[in-house]
Amino acid sequence: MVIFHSIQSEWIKKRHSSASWLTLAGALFIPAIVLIKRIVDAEKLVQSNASGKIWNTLYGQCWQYMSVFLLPMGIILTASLLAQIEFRNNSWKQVHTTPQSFTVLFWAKFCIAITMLVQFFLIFNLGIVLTGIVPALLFRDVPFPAQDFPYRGFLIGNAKFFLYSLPILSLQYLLSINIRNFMVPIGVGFAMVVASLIAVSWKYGYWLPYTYCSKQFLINDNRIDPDVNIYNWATGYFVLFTVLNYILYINRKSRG
Amino acid sequence: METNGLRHQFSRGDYVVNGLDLRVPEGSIYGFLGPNGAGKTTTLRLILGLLKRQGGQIDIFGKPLEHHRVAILKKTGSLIDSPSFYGHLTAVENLLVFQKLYQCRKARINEVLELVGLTDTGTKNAGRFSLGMKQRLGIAIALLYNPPFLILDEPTNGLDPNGMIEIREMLIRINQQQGVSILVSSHLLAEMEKLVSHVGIINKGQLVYQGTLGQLMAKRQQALQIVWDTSDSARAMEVLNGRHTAQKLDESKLVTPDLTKMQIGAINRELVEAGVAVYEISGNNKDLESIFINLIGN
Repeated sequence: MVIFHSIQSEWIKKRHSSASWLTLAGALFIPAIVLIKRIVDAEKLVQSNASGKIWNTLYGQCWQYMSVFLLPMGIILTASLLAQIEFRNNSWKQVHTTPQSFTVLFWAKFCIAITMLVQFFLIFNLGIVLTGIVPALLFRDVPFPAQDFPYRGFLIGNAKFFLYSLPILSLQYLLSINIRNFMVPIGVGFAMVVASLIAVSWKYGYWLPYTYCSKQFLINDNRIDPDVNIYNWATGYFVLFTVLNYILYINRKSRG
Repeated sequence: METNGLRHQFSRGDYVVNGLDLRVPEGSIYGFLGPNGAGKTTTLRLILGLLKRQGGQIDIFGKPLEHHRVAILKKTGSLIDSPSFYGHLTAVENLLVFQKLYQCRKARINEVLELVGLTDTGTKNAGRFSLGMKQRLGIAIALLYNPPFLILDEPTNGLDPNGMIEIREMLIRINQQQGVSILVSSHLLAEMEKLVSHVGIINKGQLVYQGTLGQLMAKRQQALQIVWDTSDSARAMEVLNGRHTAQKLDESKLVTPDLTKMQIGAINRELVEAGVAVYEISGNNKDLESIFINLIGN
C-alpha cells in the first residue's frame, strides 16, 4: 500500500514536466513525419491503403526510424529529465524526509520511469495507427487500410523493442539519479548511441546494450551472430544495472 | 528529541559536528543558534537522516532514529535550508504530492494554504512565486499533516517584516494550541528572542550553551559590564590597583564587570577624590545578540 501511495505521489510530480512533454512529442514525432509524407504523396495513398500489407509497411517505416536513434535518445533524455525533477527543485532532501523506506522510494521512482516507457510505446503505436487511418478520414477516395490489424505482430514486435529499451533505461536512470550534472548522463548516453551505430554490425556488438534496438532490423544480416541471444543479454543487463543502481542508492551517504 | 555525542565530518576534514548533546523538550520552541558554518544545518540534516550518522545517537519521541526512521518521520515536519517544492506544479499540486504520501485529509491542503496565506495562487506555478511565497509554501508542506514535531531551518528567510511576524505568530499559536514541539534554527537573533522558549548555541560544531531563554537572559546580568569614561584611564587603573578586574579600554575609558550600585558609588567617589574626573558611567546593553557574540567569542 505504501508503494502505491508513493507511486501516486511520483506520478503527480511528472505532471506538466519536461519529461512528460518529451514522451508525448517524442512518441508522435516519427508517425507525424510518416503521415505528412503520405499526405504529400497523396497519389499513392489509394494504392497503399488498399495494400494487404499496409500495417506491416507503416510499422516497419515508423520503427526503423524510431529504433536506431530516436528511441535510445528519447530514453536518455527522459531518464535525465525525470531525475532532474528532484535535482533542479532541490527537493531530494524533502523526499528523503517523507515517511517511506528508501527501498519503496527507489522502486516507486523506477516504476514511474518504466511506466513512462510503456506510455511512450502506447502513444507511438497509436501514432502508427493514425498514419493509416487519418488519410482515409481526410480524403474521400482513400480507403481505410485493407489489411486486418496485425495485433499479434505488433505486440510481439513492441515487446521486443520494449525489452531492448530496458537496459538503456536502467543504465541511464542509474547515471541520472547519481550524477547531479545532467550533461554527464546525456553525454554518456549520446556517446553510447554513436558507438552503437558503429558497433551494431560488429561481431561483439551485443556487448553494448544500446545496439539491440538497431539489431532488430539486421537480424537476418550475416554479420550478426545467430547464436547470441539478445533477449537474455538485454534482460541480464537490465537486472544488473537495476540492482547496481539500487545498491548505490541504498548506500548513499548524503541524501540532499 | 535528544542527541548524544553526535559527531560528523566531511571527508577527512575537521569535525563539523563534534559531540553534540541536544535536548529539545516536548512542547518547547527550541532556538538553534550559531554563526555561519557552525554546524547547524549539518546537525538538522543528521537529525532528519539526510546524512549518514557517523557517531553518537539520535532519539526522537524516545526512539532511536536509526531503527525507527519511517515511524519518526511520520510525525516530523521539516523545512531544511531553502524550501523544497516542484516549480512546474501549482501550490495545490505540490501539497497533493505530499498529501498522497502522508495520507492526510485532502481538506488539509486548503487549511494550510490559508494558514500561510497562499490561498489565491490558483494556477500559478510555484516556480514563479516570490521568495517569500516559496518560503510559505515550504512551511505549508511541513505543516500539512499536523506533525507533533517540526524542524525548521531559517523559516523566515526571505520574508518581509509582516511575513516574519505572521510566521512567528503562527508558530507560537501551533505550539501553544496544539502542543507542537518546534526546533528552529535562525541567524535572526531578535526574531528568536520573541519566539523561542529554549535555546541551544552551537559554535565550531560544539554546543556552547543550552537551556531556557530565561536562563540565558539571566546570563545577561552576569555578563553585564560597566564602562567608565574618565579624564585619565591610566591614573584610574592605578587608583583601582587591580581591584574589580578593571581593564583599560583606551586613554579615557576602562571597563569593569557588573557591580552593585554601592560598589559603583564607592569607586566613583574614590576616583574623584584621587583627582580623576568621571564623565560617564554606563552599563552595556546586553541583548540576545551580544550574549551570543560573547558566548561564541569565548
